[in-house]
Amino acid sequence: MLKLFQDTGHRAFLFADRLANVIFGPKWNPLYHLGTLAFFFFYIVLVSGIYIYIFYDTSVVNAYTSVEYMTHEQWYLAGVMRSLHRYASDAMVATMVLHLLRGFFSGRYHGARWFSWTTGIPMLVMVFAIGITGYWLVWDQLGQFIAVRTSEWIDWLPIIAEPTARNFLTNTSITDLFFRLLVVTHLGLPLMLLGLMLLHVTRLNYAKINPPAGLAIGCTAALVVLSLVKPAVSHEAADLSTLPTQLNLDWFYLFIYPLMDRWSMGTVWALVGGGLLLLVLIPWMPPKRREPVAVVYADDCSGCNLCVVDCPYEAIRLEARTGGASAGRYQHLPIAVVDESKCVSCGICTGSCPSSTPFRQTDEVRTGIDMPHKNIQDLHAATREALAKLTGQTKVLVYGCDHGVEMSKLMQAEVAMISLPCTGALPPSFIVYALRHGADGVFLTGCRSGDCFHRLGNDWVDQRVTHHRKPYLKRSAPRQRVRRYWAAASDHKQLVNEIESFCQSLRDISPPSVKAEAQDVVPDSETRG
Amino acid sequence: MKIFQYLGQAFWYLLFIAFIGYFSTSPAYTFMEPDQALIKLAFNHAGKLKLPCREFTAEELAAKPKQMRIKFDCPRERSPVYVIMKVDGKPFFDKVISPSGLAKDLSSPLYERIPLKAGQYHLYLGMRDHIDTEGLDYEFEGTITLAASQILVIGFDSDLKEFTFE
Repeated sequence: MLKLFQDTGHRAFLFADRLANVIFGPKWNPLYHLGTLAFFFFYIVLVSGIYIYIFYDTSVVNAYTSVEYMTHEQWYLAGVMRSLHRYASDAMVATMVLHLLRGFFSGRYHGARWFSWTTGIPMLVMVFAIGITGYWLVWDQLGQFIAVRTSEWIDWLPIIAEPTARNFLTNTSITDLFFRLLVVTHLGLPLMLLGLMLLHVTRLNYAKINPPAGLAIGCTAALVVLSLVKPAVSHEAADLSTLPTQLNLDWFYLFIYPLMDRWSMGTVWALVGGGLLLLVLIPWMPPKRREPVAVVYADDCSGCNLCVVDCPYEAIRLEARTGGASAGRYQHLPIAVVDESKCVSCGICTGSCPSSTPFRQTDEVRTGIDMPHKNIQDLHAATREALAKLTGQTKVLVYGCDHGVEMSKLMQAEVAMISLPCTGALPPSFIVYALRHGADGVFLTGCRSGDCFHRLGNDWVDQRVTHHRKPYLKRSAPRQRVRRYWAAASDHKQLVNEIESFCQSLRDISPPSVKAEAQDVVPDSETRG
Repeated sequence: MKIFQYLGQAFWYLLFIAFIGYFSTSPAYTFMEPDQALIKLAFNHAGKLKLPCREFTAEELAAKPKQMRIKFDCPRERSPVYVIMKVDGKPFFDKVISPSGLAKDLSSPLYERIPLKAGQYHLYLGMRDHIDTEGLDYEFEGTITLAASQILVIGFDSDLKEFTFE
């Protein structure tokens, strides 16, 4: 049931991604930048908040009039800033929720990725707390409604001796001191949120915290237009002797308040508490056996640092070799060390290791860092087996990943498939190997560009093939015999068409230029990348 | 082709601001109907001590260390407070409120929302300081008029020993 729900949600996102890719291109696709957009909206909230705070009066009596001054007297700047403050906050909630849903539907929270998922949950709570206190500060009828209902909700908890709602019985019962405390809360929580935001991306290498400039400009312009077309306005001033009746709720933040009126306060607490607990526990539900983490082989690790810079999860670092790790020709060099708590078993490190080459003088293919459950020898054997199976006129070997199009669906006489945990786990030397051992072409596929399940896998493949990232694909490998096409699980048809087009292009060109006359051995200097 | 992309982006941003703009204020929520009023019955009244002071017996005093030999034993625990409210003769609220505090030695807090339609009502209020006694210690009976959207706060002044209306 859960799987069906996730698959349906994932397919919905893939459909929307395809549309957005057409409109924006993968680089600017807003659905690939939901997290960075949430960060960006937060910056807008911060800047606009600082400006309107200059004009805001923190006393109970004058808070409302100061907001009214901004809205109506200085509408051209403070008013726009107020509107931006509100709408950017709303956009932040919307993008955060979409970001969370996207992560949930695509299953990007298992194993070591629990950290990013779990640190996101208190951020969500904090954003709601900041938003709710913000509405409170306007001290209009909506603020009054929120203040009273929030207090009544908190008072339901048996830990509070004296009802806090008694602070809002009459217009004289609320004090400036209390109001200033609220202001401090509204200003202090965002600082704490900043800290959480940093923590949220701590375990990510090359974490994206800013959206592409064009997207940021587009979103800002859109919010400014909205602020001018529909400026944020207040309700009537708060009056604790009068009931607010009709309220224009901000449903992004305040959707919980109507529930308090429909259900009991206890039910709402159960919903909120239970929902948050469920969200926190999702990475362990259902419990899954964790795949083995990467293992470093001291004899073949030259301490070149490539796996350290390529690991998307900051799970690898270099350390000086200890006595036990000292070995052979690399004993004077540092060695890679894997942090088990951060490794997600994507295998990208194997793809980045220059020792991961099938061109060896010995039969045994070895590497400096490898996945125990899907090691380089398995890849070597699978490649040889796949090449042997190719019987068609044009022989194409496809390397794909477990998160793209299901490889078994692509099987045909001319095409053989090998699926990796991530296409980034493919050492470029295997492309050359396949071309020298019978393949007319090598086709690389995986998740859609900008949406790699392991964040950076297809970026690294692109850069290795185009000679922008080590280990490079050898220049001697003819580029017309290597094609990349990034496709999501739902892009089966497009991928088949692309492979057929690749086969046709191979038929049109002369036989492979990479010949087996080159020695099947890579000198040490090349092995090190 | 590029022009269609720009148009598509413009449409996307339009959808984005329409979504944000609409749900930031709409649909409107009716918290209370316009003809409604609300009584807030809210006060903080300390009930009487649950048990009276009693004199320690000579044996009890002898069993205590010298520095703890005080004459009387006065338990701190207070009695719950009983409150009743009737509107036009019908009971609307009838509750025993426990004292707060771990030792139940603090006042009994009350905060109750009672929505009513706007109009004139005959109101009866009663309160008893001690749960074990008979009758009511404080009473109010009279007519109140509630305007539409009015919030009437009914409290209790523990010094004057009377109900208050704001």
